[in-house]
Amino acid sequence: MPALQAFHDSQRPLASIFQVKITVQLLGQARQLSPTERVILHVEEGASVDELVPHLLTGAPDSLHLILSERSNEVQQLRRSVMAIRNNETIEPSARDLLKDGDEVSLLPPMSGG
Amino acid sequence: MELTDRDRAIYEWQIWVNGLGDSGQQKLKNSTALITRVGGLGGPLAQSLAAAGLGKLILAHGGNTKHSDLNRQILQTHDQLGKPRIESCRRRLVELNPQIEIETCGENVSEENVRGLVSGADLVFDCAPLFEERLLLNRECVRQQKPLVDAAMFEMEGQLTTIIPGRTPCLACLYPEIPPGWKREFPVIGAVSATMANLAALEGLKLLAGFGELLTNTLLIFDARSMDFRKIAIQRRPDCLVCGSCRPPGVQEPS
Ligand SMILES: [Zn+2]
Repeated sequence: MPALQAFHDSQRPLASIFQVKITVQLLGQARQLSPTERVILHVEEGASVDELVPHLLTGAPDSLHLILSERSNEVQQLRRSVMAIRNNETIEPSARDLLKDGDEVSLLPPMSGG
Repeated sequence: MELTDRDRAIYEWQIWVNGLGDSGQQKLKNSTALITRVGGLGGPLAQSLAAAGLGKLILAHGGNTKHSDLNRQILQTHDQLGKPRIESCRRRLVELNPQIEIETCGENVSEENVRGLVSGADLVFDCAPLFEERLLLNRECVRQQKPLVDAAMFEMEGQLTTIIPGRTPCLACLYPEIPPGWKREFPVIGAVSATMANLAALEGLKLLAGFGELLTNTLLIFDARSMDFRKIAIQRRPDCLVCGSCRPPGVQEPS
């Protein structure tokens, strides 16, 4: 594990008063394609879910990039077919200032029939 | 149609359920449900609805039975290999409950048949593996203002919501576009799809009989690895291309 985890820990600054800790949980197909099911990110306070995506996908396999992200105006953002859930509510991926320290964000690519 | 003495004898134990009762059972008897794809999800779902005495089932399921169906498509049998799946669905459901009416369509939902299939039903269950099919069914249910119970699964997880057009998010509110990289063949344990199927059946029975609380504006997520159930609050997209202009039944357009 967690190649991703190691990367994120190495990015963690020593003093982080303007940073919040967000746990990102991958669900469904994203969970199956990821080397790790949960990723802890330390991001700037006020960051949107879209802004978590480049951190989340650093070093991730192409298949996970395809499912979770898309480019809009040259910026990598959460793919619009993926549901973003903050704790137990859906959240608009582009909205800033909603994520609080300690929040859990789940990313759910849609599932289908069995 | 009233309940007969025979109905009361067959459904006695579920008529005892608080909120269901005689009147709920009668509503079930006079209801029609459409199930699109009667495989790992739709099969156990159809079985539970048939056993519960739902008056009429319309089943849409294409293709012939394959070996790889048999781990989860519990209405298919080994002697049925190579023959149309829909025949096996009908045979097994008639064995289970010969009193209900079963209408079959040996095709999956398509642009050509979706309107007719939905129009005959009071309630629709979406159990298809392809997103094109799911979004097509969603669009038609919104157009005809029919409730849609949407059940889905992947590997050891499942999700479920009940859509009431105009009052809850529709499928296109949840995912406005077809996700990329989706493979038609994906990991399935039959017990996971059957779990989601039976949760969907309960949503349908409650909705039709009129008791309990529904998963409206709520997405249930099930994780079979940890046995966690989570309820997520979901919202309509005001700019949804499918239901954005849809009002709840009975609400007038502003003049
Ligand atoms: Zn919608």
